[in-house]
Amino acid sequence: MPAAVRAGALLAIGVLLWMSGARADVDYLADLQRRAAESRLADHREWRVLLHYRRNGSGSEVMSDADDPRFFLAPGGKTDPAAELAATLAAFFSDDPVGADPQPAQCAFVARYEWLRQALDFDSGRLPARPCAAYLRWKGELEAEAATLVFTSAYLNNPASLFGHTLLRLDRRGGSGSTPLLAYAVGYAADDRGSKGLMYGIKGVSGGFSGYFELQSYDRLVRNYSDIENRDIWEYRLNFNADQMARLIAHLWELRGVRFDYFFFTENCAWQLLTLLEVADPSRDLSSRFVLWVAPADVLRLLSSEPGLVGAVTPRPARGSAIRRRYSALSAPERAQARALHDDVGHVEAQAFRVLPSERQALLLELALDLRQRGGMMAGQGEADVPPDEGVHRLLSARSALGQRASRFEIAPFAGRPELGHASHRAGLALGQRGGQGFIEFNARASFHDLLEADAGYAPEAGIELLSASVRHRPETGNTRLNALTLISIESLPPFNPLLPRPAWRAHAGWVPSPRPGCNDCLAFRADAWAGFSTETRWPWRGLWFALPGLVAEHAADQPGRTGPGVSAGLIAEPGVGWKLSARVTRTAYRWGERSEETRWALAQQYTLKRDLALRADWQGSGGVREFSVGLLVYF
Amino acid sequence: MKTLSKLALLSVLALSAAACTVIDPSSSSHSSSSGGDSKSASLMSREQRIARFTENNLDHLKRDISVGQGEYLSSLASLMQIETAQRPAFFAFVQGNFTRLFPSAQTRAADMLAALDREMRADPRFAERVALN
Repeated sequence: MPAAVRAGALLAIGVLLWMSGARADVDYLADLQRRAAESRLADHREWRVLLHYRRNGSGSEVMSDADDPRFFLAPGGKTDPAAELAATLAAFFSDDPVGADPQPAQCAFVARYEWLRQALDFDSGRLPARPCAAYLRWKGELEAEAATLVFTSAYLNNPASLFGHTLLRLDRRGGSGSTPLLAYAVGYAADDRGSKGLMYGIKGVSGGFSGYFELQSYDRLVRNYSDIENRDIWEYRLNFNADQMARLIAHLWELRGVRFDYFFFTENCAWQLLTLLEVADPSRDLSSRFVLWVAPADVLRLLSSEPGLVGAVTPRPARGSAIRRRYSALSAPERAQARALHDDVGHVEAQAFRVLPSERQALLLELALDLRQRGGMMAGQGEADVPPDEGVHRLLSARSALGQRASRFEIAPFAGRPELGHASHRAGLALGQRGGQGFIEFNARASFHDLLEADAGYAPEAGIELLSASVRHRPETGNTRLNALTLISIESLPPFNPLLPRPAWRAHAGWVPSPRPGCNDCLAFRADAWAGFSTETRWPWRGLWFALPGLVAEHAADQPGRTGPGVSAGLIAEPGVGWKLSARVTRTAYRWGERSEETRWALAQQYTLKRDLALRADWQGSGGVREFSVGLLVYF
Repeated sequence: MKTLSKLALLSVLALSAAACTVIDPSSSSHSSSSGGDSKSASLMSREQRIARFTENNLDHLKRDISVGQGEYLSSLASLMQIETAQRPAFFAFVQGNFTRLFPSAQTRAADMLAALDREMRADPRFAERVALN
């Protein structure tokens, strides 16, 4: 046979074989698609959670939260689960690169492949499994065996962190309980680069930001949150089995680089982590439990109420908390030594220090080390290359010379477990009298916590209130009017600590009652900010005293505005568990605009009946008008 | 003043909102060298992981070594695959050698690791462990 003919015959056979192979592919694909349609796989919960499909408001249609076309294989995949499933099956037969990190579909969408492979029992002879080396390497490096939900408490000095933050840590195999620092953690975050000020608000609410799931090493996150921002962390181990973990990890691979529109209120970090947990365990319905507003603490409350989901809960106190706890455990002479060490490292050689028992020396040296290293880290903006500090080195050498005499000291965080606190929404009903006229008041607050409420679950000495309003009805006149509307009110009153001084401050913006002659119910818009000093006393009860100089600006309709300096001082005391009292006086001298002086005083107390129910009584006065009210508050 | 109250309202929406943090370019840039990176899937050897961890947490490690215990020191021991039973001895060993591991305030992570390697080789309890590395 001439060579050309032989080659031609071989080619023909090759083409025939290829065609029959392709034919088999087509037949098998059609078979898979038919079976998938018959068993309505696209309606299965597993498929819905993997593609982040959600029912729209009316419930008639579904739409995926993912806003990245590369996350879908069918043109209308974002809104058509069945078409997406059929296209996914077709793509599994191809090596064409797809997805945000282009590679064959079987490797780009490993969790979808694995679920469909099991659901349709793929024939590996007719649909061979592609090797996914990159995925296996990535998974091997994560080495994830368990998942832990991480809550970082509120951080009042950064507006983006007022409500805390949540992450999902992927704990490593093999004793990861002792080395969580080596794990990676996944978080969902908005990429706000290039947006400042007002645009931040507008884009955040309207979904103009892009959100991404991001993996970061946990030691870096701890450095940021615990060391630099001084936020206590709580870690909640989740009881996922090996199959659930495998699904979670495979899905995280699919999500790399996929863009979501970020909505602050709902599709935020806290809510999006719930969608990951649903992929791990599709039998749990978590993300649809929230409608308008999801705060990280709400998520923890929900997860803790899920049977069998949350295991051990572990605190990770911030470095600043460790400093405060150690300092408060010292006797008065030891405190003097601690301050001396802090002021001059040479004090390690002083006779007064050397005569102390070695475990007390160790405790004082560790405290001094924490303080100095923290200072260095703050100065170095938290980067790893903290500037060398001879003082630190001297303290370290002195501490190592003391040997392993461990000064055992359990350090409790200051911020409580958020799920143990009252819920963040509040509504209340009160009866009272103002200037001799009775009223019925209805009040409501979108979130979060004020200083009269029980501290459990919240950072003590810190209050944030957002969108709080009260409406009053006067039975005598029959009229109903807005009494007050707070946009935001933040209060941070950490008691003064000489080693770790932090300012006490308060800021508020909103409409407040501003009675004038002939207008008992008038409102004024008021913005005020205060900064000063706070200290605590222990006798007869725990009391927090504060004095805050500040500035007030007020404007009422049809009135000239007025602005001036003032002083606000008072006390918050806790006579018993769940019972708090506050007394404060604010004196303002308006110097600009309408010149006038004003004194406001308020006495209030709250008694917590149970976690989500409390009684509150208020007695206050301003501009010669006094009012008294007593009411019931419900948290939900 | 109306503008002021509108501004206040908008900023409240922004705050309320920002229940979460935003992407921090400084922290995410570091993931490019790790398997946790969102795009690439590189593999770090154990030596690289030890070097990275030590470099990123040198201040914490110094403290733990001088104290003779702590989570950062445990993590280093775990990366070095020192068995749980041997850890108390290892912790006492590094504490006792603090001034050799950190001769000055300027000692860098790589210098410390080199010194640790040297000291372990010289100690019959840990010499075998180093040989495995």
